Amino acid sequence: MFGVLFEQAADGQRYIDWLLSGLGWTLALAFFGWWIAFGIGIVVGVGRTVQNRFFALPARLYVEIFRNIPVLVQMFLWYFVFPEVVPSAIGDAIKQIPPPWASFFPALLCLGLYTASRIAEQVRAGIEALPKGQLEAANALGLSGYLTYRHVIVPQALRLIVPSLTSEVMGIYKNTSVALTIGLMELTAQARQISEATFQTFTAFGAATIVYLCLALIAYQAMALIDRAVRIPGSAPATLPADQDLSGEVQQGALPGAMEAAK
Amino acid sequence: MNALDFSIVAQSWPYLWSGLLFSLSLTAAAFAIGMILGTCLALAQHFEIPLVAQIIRGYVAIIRSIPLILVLFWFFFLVPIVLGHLSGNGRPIPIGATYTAFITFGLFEAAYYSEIIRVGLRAVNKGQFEACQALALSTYDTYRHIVLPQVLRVASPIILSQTIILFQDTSLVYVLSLTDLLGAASKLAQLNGRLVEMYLVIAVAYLVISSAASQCVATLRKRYAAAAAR
Amino acid sequence: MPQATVSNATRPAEIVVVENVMKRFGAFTALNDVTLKVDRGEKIVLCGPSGSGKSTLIRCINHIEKHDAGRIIVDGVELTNRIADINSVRCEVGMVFQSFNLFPHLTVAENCMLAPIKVRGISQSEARDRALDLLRKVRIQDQADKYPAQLSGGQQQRVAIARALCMQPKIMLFDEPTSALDPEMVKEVLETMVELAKEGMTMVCVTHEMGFAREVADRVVFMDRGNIIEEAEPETFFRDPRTERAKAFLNQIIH
Repeated sequence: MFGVLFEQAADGQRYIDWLLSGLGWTLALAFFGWWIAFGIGIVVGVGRTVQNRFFALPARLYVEIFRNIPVLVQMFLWYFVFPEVVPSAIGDAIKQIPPPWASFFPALLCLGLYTASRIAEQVRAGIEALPKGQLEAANALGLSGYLTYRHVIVPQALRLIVPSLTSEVMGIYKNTSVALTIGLMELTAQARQISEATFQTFTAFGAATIVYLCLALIAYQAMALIDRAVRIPGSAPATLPADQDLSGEVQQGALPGAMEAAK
Repeated sequence: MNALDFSIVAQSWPYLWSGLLFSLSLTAAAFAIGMILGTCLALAQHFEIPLVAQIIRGYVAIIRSIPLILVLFWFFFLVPIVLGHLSGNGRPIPIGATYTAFITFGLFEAAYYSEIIRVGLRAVNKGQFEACQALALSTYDTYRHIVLPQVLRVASPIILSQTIILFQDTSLVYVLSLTDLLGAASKLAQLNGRLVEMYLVIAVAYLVISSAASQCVATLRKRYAAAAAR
Repeated sequence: MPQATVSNATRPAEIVVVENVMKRFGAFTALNDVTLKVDRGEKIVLCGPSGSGKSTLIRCINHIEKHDAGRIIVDGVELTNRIADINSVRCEVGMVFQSFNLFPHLTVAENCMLAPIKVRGISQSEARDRALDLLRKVRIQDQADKYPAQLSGGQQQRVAIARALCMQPKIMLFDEPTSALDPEMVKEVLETMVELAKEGMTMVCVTHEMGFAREVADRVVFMDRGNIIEEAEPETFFRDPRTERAKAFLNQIIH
C-alpha cells in the first residue's frame, strides 16, 4: 500500500523524502516553539498570580488576546500584517527573508506565543492549587517575592501541571499544520502534495496519520517519563483540584487509547 | 503601506457578517452533532460493549492525535466515497465543501466531547448507582435521569471551553476555501488589497466573541464552585 | 545555636511590642485593641478558645497577617508596609506552623538551607553544616536527605523547628505546633520545644498543651473574642483563674 512512497517524484526525490522533509519542519516548529512557549508561559503564568497590578494586568491581557484569537488568524497576523505595521525599514527587511524561512519564523512566533498563553493558564492553575501555607512559610523565612517564586512556588507548580502540559505538547505539534496556510511545507502540506501528485490520497494521508500518531505516542511517553522523574519521593502523584483535574484527565485520556489502537 | 483605512471594512460589512453567521452555524451544528454522538460514544465505552468500545477508543485516539487540518482533508476525501458505498452504486457522491465541513466538525468534536463525558461518567459517585438500584430504577432511567444530568452539570464548564475552542477552530475551513468569517475576510482582502485592515478587524471580532464567551464560562465555573462549597 | 540574647543598656528589654492592634476579616473582628509585650528570653503561652485571635496575633508579629491599626515593633523595627523592614524582621523571627508547611520538593536538609543561603547569604557548606547541626539537635540528622513526605508528622514538625532555627532567629513563634499531630507524636515535638526553651530562646507559643505551659512558660496569656482577658504566671492561672471565661475554657480542655 505504501509502495508509491518510494517512487520517484517529478523533482527527482522520492515521495518519502517529501514526507520526511515535512516531518523535519513539523518537528523544528514544535520543538523550538515549545521552548518559546514554555519560557513565556511561566513568566506570564506567574504574572497572573501576583498582587502587583503592574505585572498582573499585562499578563492577563496577554492571555486574553493570545488565547482568544484562532491560531490561523494569528498566523495571518504575523505573516501578512506584522511586516506592514512595523516601521517600513523593518518591514522591508522581513520581506527580504528567503522562502522557507519567511514562513517558518512567523509560524514559530505564532505557535510559540499562542501556546504560551495556554501554558500560562496551566501554570496559574498549578500555582493556585498549592497550599497557602507554602507561601506563608516562605514569607516567614524572610524569602523575597522573587525567591519565593523561584525556589518554592514555581518548582512545585510545574510538577503539578506535568500531566496537563502533555496536552499542550500535543497541541503544539498538531497546530504546526496550520503553518501550511502561509506556505510552509510541513507534514500535512507534504501529504496533500503527494496525494495531488500521485492520486494515492489514502496512502498519502495514511502515512501522515501514522507519523502523527507516532509523534503523539512519543510525546506522551516522554511526558510520562518526565512526570516520573520529577515526582517527589514519598508523595502521591500530583493532582490538581476537581475541575482542573477533570480536564487534565480528559486531555491525558487520549493516549492510553492511542496505545491500544496501535497494538 | 498607506495609512490604515477601515472604511473598506464598513463597505464590505454584509459579506463579513454572512461569513460570521456561517462560522456560528458551523459551531452550533458541530456542537449539536458532537454532543449527541459524543454522549453515545462515551456510553458505549462506559458499558464496555465488546469490539464497539475498542473501535471507538481507537477512533477517538486517532482523531485527537492528528491535526484538525489533516482530519478535514481526510473527510473531504472520504465522505463522498463512503456516501457512494452507502448509496449502493459505489461511485463517489460529491456533496460539496459546506456539507463536508458540517459532517467533519460534528464527527471531530464528537471525539472530544465523548472524552469529556467519559471521564465525567467515571467521576460519578458510586453511591448514586447504589441508590438507583435500591430504588429499582432501570438502567435507562438511571442514566437518563440521574447519571447523565450530573455528568453534564459537572462537565459543563469544560464542555463550554471546548466549544469556544471549536468556534476558533472553525476558521480552519479556510483550507477548504469556504466563506466563514476568516474566509470572507481573506477573499475581500484579495479583491481590494486591504489585508491589514481585514485581518485586524476579524482578529478583533474573534477576540471579542471568544473573550465574552470565556467570561461566561468563568462566571459559571465560579457559581458552581460556590454551590459546591456550600 | 540561637544567638546570644545579651541585653545592654541601649536596647530595650522588650523584643516584641504589640500596641493597640486591631485586625478585621470582613465583618469579623479577630483582634480588638490588643496590647502585649514580650521580653528577651521570655516564654509566653497564648491560649484561648478557637476564634479567639491567638493565631492571628502571632501571625501579625511577623506580618503574615497585616494588622489594620495599632503598632507592632519587633527588635526595634516597626512593622509598616515597607518590604525591607518586613523581610529584616522575618529573618529574626522564626515561625512553626500547625501544618508544618515544609517545602515538599526539597529534602530535609535543603528545607533548612534555602533561606540561610538565599536570604542570609551564607555559603552552601556553612549552611549544610548548620542544618545538620540543628537537625542533630532535634534528633533527626539521619533523615537529612529524605523528602518531607517520607517522614512522620512528628518528624516533619521537628524539621520545621530546625528550619526556623537555621535562620538564627531571636524569637520563635509556634502556631499550634502539635494540634495536627497524632497523640503519640506530640511528646517528641514538645520535648524539642522544652529543650529550646531551656536554652534561653524567646518563645511565643499558641498551644493547648498545659503541661508544656506549666513546665516552661513565664506567662500564660488568655485570649477570647479578640481580646487579652487574663495574663498570669502558669501556676496562678491554672490554679486560680480570675475570669469566668478562663475557668470555662480550662474546664473544657481538662477533659
